Amino acid sequence: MRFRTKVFNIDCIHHFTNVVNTINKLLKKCTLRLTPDKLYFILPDQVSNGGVSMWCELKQANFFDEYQMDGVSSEHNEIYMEIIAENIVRALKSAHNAKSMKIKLTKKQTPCLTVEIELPSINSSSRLVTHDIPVSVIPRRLWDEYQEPTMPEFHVSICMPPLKTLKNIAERMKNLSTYLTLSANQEGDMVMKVETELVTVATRFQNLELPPFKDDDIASQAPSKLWPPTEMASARVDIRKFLQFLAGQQINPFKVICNIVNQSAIHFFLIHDDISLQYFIPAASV
Amino acid sequence: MKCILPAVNVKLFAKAIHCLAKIGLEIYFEPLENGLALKTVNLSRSAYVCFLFMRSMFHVYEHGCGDVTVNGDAVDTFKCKVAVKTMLQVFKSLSSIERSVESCDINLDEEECSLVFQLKCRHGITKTHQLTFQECDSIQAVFAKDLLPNILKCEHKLLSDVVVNFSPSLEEISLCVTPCRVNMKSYTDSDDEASLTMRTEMSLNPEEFADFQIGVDTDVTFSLKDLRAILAFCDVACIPIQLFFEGGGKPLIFTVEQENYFRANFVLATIANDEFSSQRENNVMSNTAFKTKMVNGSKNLQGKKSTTKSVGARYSRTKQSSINQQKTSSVLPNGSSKSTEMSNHGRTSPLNEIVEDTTRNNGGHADGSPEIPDQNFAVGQDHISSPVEPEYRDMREVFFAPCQNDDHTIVVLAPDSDEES
Repeated sequence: MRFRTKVFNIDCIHHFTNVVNTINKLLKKCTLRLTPDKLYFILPDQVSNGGVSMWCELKQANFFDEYQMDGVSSEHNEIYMEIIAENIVRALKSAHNAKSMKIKLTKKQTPCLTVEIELPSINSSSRLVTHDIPVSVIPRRLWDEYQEPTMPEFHVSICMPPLKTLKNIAERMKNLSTYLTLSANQEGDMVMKVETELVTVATRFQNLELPPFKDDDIASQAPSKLWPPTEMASARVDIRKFLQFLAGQQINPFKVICNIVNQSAIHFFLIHDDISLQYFIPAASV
Repeated sequence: MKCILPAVNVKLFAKAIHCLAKIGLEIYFEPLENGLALKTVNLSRSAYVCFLFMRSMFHVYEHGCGDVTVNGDAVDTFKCKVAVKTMLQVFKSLSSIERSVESCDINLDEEECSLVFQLKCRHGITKTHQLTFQECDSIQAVFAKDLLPNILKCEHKLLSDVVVNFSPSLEEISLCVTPCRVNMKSYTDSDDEASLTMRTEMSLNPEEFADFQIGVDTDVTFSLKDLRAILAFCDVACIPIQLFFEGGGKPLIFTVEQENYFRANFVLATIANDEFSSQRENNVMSNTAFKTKMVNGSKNLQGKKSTTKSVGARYSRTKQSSINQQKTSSVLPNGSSKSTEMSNHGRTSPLNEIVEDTTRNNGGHADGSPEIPDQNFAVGQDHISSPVEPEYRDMREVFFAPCQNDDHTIVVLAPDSDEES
């Protein structure tokens, strides 16, 4: 098992930092999966996570100048490790104006992800910061828990309005209730609603874009084909989890797709040039 | 005592109060002949801070009180301590102080029992704070920083740049020096903890330091929180910072100084070197003759409660100060210059060191009370202590460890002890 990578471009470092910051906002502990061309940050669908799950993949070539890895074996050329997201964020904070950054898997007292950062100094010499982030390597037999989630069989799929706008609204709604109902139909209408005994607040968005359907993914679209286009599909979710998703965004996706499985879950899909991030929030029972 | 602080210096003074507040719970307020001293020591007595604002910092500085003599002894000026919280009230908001305060009058009248801070602000507003205080003896750390083998001097920015890389929850940091490299490392106490927390290390080139003298390769571990407090002050003072140190278990001194203006000394305890103390312990155990000697020696140092066990102990911030006092003192005897010299010259038998230590310990205390060293003792050391602390000879002190050797001084924290009669 071997992993080592190098970055010299400060923009790439900042870009990577943004991704990690986003992930840190969503979860505490995540699984980092390394393959020869991609990096994945995964939060598997577990009860202990409150049903929330996340899947984020990055193309390594877009971030790193050098990237070498050997997985656990030649037929399973991958590495899975559990890591505390906040630690990576802290380590990358030092890299704000770095000359170069190396990330490698090392064996110290415990397995560590070592981040070596070369910083400029007032004279010709450079300062070297090393962060050893403890990780636990996940054995081969447990890998199945961390497979890519299948696309849910959603009823309505819609492109979200700008997340900033949603965030501002959701933050105010949070003061009224702990749950928010997100609903949408296939004609480009979306509603965010909170209900209490005294008041009901709803914000409507109209004429939203509908993501184009791909014909190859028939299974997940099956329910939406049967769904009446004007009918609202809705899911009631924990408003804090929804806000966590909205507030932590630092990767400026060009499109955010929201898939609603009526009364059971919301699936967000962020699309960016070299990153894709999926986030699932289960519906709360009434 | 009466003084007036001009607007330009109020911010520095306020920042000093903020710094003191981060370390101790009480501020010792001491008007001296050459200026106003503010001191504090933290609860576990592992950090001591002394600010001396000299006459030139004030518009007006009336030391007052004069040199009254009672029975031929010079009685020093009235000293008091103020709870940090009350003092902070006066200088709460740095930004508003910077914006509006035109001068600050400080008035200490012992007859009237009043300590008054008056902030003269713009538009003729005057804010008057009458503080409660407690009369007390002085505290004084005894140290001879000029005799320490390792001296570093750098811009405070360098240290700030280092410190930002460390986790905010980290307690202690290690500074490791060799003639060609300076490393700062995060320090974790136990191995279980080490496997869970992130470790950070930063390495610097000696060229980055304005002054770089390393006499002894060593590493010292000290509180990061205290260092942060010091750096926060330096941020406003904007002058280079100096470090003086020798090794683990012996104090680390930070000095920030502007000639004839003000001076700040920060004395931090460092964690004793593990290997060395455990080695000592083993040796003590292996030789009963030495063991008894050692027990006597350490008893002399630490008072009746001490046991040999505490020889290997480290300081702990959370422990009661009395316990801590013992622990630190158990560490300090290693600080006698001879034993360090020996360890530098290829570690001669540690047994000899113990003999050295114990004999000196015994000798140093043949006549004195074990817990409160004789006043004369401190006077005897006077020529070593820098002129910085002129009031020093009149202080009643409880030493963490007495000085055994005439040529060298060990840092000692001298709190106003409850034990004195």
